[in-house]
Amino acid sequence: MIRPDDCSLSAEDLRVIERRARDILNRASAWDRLPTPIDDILAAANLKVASHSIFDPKSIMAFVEEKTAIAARALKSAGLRIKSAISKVLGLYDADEYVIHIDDTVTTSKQTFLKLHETGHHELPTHRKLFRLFQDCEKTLAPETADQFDREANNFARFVLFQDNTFAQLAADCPFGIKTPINLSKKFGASVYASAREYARTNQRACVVFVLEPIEYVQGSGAKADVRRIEASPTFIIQFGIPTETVITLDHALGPVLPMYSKMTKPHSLSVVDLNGTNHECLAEGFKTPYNIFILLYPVRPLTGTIIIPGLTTG
Amino acid sequence: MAADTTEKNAVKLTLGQYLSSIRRDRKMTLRQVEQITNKDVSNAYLSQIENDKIKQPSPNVLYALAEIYKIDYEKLMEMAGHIAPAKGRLEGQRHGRLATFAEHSLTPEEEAELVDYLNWIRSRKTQT
Repeated sequence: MIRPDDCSLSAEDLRVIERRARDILNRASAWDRLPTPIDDILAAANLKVASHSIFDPKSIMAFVEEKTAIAARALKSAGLRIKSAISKVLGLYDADEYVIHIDDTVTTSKQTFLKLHETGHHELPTHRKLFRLFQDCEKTLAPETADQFDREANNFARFVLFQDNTFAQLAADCPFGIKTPINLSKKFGASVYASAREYARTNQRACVVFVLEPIEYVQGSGAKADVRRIEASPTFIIQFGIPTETVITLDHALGPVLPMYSKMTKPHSLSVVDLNGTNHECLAEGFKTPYNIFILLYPVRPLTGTIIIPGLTTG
Repeated sequence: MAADTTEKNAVKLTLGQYLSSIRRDRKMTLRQVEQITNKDVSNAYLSQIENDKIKQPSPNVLYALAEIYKIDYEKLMEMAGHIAPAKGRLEGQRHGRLATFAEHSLTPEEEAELVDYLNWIRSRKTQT
């Protein structure tokens, strides 16, 4: 096969090149010395033959080994990053493909909520348009806006899950107490967590639900449960404000209703002072799932000054 | 004065000035906007936006305005500061490139890796 032309040049280009070549022959005083003194040519050009050559098999080997080690380290850290990312995420909406990814290791009721949350990101055009945009550029929601979008998707999910006020209406037809949101959670395919919060949020009566983390035993100070969330009914908030507890211990006013050994604790009486300074007798009852503890607290009657029962400060 | 609504000039305007110029170009009053948006954007609220007294209106308000004015919602979100460069996010700030349900925020590196992983999942889907 004829090789491609490797030397044709225009007359002008050739003249320039040959001028430079003549110059190096001059600088090396190489004219008429044959064979052409290559070492002198290189010296005149101020060039050296590399001592560590790219053609050295040892160098090639060392390079390959180092590259492999770097790639292995990068691979390992990419692996760690993706694992830690996945461990934080329970659901994801892919705005490009119109699919959602749901962690199927969580309970079915939690998966239902996750599916509805991601559906919210899709159904709300304000979300979908931006998440599509971010596929094609290195942009992101501002942190506060990202929080707002999550709250919007949560509210979308809650509204669909409990079908607006359907839950509240059914709850109003049931006896008041912690068993009602537990029973309704099954009817709606919701978690007890979501159901208990909806129960307090929409209740006509003054009531509040404390959602606690499972009980921990701390050496020296006994059992405690950290408060995860507090959801109060609008009338409770007006009358008592929003409780500010962060942890419930056994000696706390709500301590007696921590379900230590059974799933549920019987209603327990305690006093709570409202925002006007009036003391109220309240009942509290507890329930636990493998994931959370729930305490429902509600006032039953105002107290006269003579009756003293352990109290809880709210507001 | 003729309302200037070209892309180039809009960049230099504040969000309020831009929205005000667009509304005048569309020959709409504040009240008409309130009516068309079913009071999602009230006359008083829009007036405050146009005067830059409210600098970051909610995404839902910006979307309603983008729809009736037939302008780019994404651009309004950027002007209002709801969109930021992905590179500038600090550790501990909420992630917002991907639509997730996550109790803990992803670090910028974790989110970038998740974007890569998602792309890989997609590419694998199209191969099979």
